[in-house]
Amino acid sequence: MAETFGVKKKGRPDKPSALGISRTDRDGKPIRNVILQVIPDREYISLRPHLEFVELAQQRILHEPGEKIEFAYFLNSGMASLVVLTRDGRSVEVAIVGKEGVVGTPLAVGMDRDPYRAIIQISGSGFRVKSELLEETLRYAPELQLVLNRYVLVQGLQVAQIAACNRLHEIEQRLARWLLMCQDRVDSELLPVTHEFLAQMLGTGRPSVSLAAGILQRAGTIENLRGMVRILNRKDLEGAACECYRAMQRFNSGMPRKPL
Amino acid sequence: MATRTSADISQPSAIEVATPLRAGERTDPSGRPIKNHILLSIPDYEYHLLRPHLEFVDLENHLVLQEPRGRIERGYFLNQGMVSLVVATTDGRSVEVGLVGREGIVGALLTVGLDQSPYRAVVQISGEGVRLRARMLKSTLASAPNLHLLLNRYAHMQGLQMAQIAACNRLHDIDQRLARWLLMSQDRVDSEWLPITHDFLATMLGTGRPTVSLAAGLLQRKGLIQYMRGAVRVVDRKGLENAACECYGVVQQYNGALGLK
Repeated sequence: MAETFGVKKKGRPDKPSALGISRTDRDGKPIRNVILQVIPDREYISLRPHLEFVELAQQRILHEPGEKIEFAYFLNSGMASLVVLTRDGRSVEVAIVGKEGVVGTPLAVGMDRDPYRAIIQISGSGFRVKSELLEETLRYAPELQLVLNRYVLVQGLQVAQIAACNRLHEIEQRLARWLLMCQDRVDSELLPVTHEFLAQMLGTGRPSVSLAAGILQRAGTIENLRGMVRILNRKDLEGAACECYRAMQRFNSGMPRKPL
Repeated sequence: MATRTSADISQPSAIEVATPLRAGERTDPSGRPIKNHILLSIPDYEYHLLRPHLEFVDLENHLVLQEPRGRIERGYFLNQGMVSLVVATTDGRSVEVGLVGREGIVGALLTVGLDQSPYRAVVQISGEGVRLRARMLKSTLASAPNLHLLLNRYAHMQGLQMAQIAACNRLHDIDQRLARWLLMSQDRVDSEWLPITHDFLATMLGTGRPTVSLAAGLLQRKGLIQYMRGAVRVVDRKGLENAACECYGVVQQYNGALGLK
């Protein structure tokens, strides 16, 4: 895991203990989303009544390209992808969002749509808030505004790195990079993703993904199961990934990891 | 399938800030006209806060404004010309991930308190602008909410542009990508001549020089562009739009919101 502003991280940043904050929503469900954890009490309290717990099943679409964004989703667990869809039916993932972030970043800058499909990639749960209520809350929540703005930029860095990676790196490297980014967000060695789905994310054909996954499996880094990939050796997988993985880990350290 | 794709989105809506002034209605401390869209869009009192800290700067071709992982010392508001944001890999390859012209700022990370950039920012088409020190920008932002919102919104739209480039780099052919790049550049410089070598184009598009020359030859034979030593002329813009992938259409949708034509 990355360093945080030069300070070595103690414990996993996703656990309330690491932040020393244990927050719940109005129904008592624990908050694990890092943005909701780091904002000051006063701001969290003003947002809390508007948070609605949602289960996020795999393949659930949070918004479509160009569609008005009705809700912002603060993920508690699981992972969402932002995907560009082209007219010929192809697609490619341009950003990954987990509990470190939020789906619906245009709302932070007073815009209400973006050209992506936001889709749940690994099922989990989160809290959603209606766009109008978020906007209203933001007027009196400068720290939340700042952390959302910062997330917009940090996500932009990730997107830029993916742009370069898509052009410059081989499918095995990109697959390894993707599996690592995914595991960082789900904390499990088993990733419930099919090769078909991976192909859509990586913007390539299923056979290319299966070939690359076969290479990684023969090297003993992963095991391909039906509808799942198991990570056997994370260290070697990091070695197999392109430098983009490390670069993106560094970007995430730009997000606050302790209470503001 | 009835699904809308990323290419079918409608104009983005955004809270209107204010009608921008015309180029030249504001000047920098040396009396030179301001043409940067962001600086023309903020209210007078915010511009007056910023103005004393602005320093005119000539932006020569290939001037590097930021190195990857270097500290961002200054923000640059372009008046004219174009800067590329480039990701360089350790094996010496590189690819462009974003373009900045008079619609934007180089150093957008400063607006959220970050001061390291993973990109190289390099002047691609010479021009001019005004720059200011990172801490001056930061301290002004506290009393300039409109500037702050515009910069954050710009950063967001730049992220959208980068995302489309990410998809494009993966899915589209070099001649489509070249056409897309020429159109995006022309939008930022308002000239039919783009002073660009094939070498530089290859670096931007993350491919080899021969591949770029081949693609440029194809576009030239179709009568869309004309290329000479160190320059490309856009001859038939409409035709070039058709030759580009749909990614151009997606990024073009944001031109209005960015203050580009």
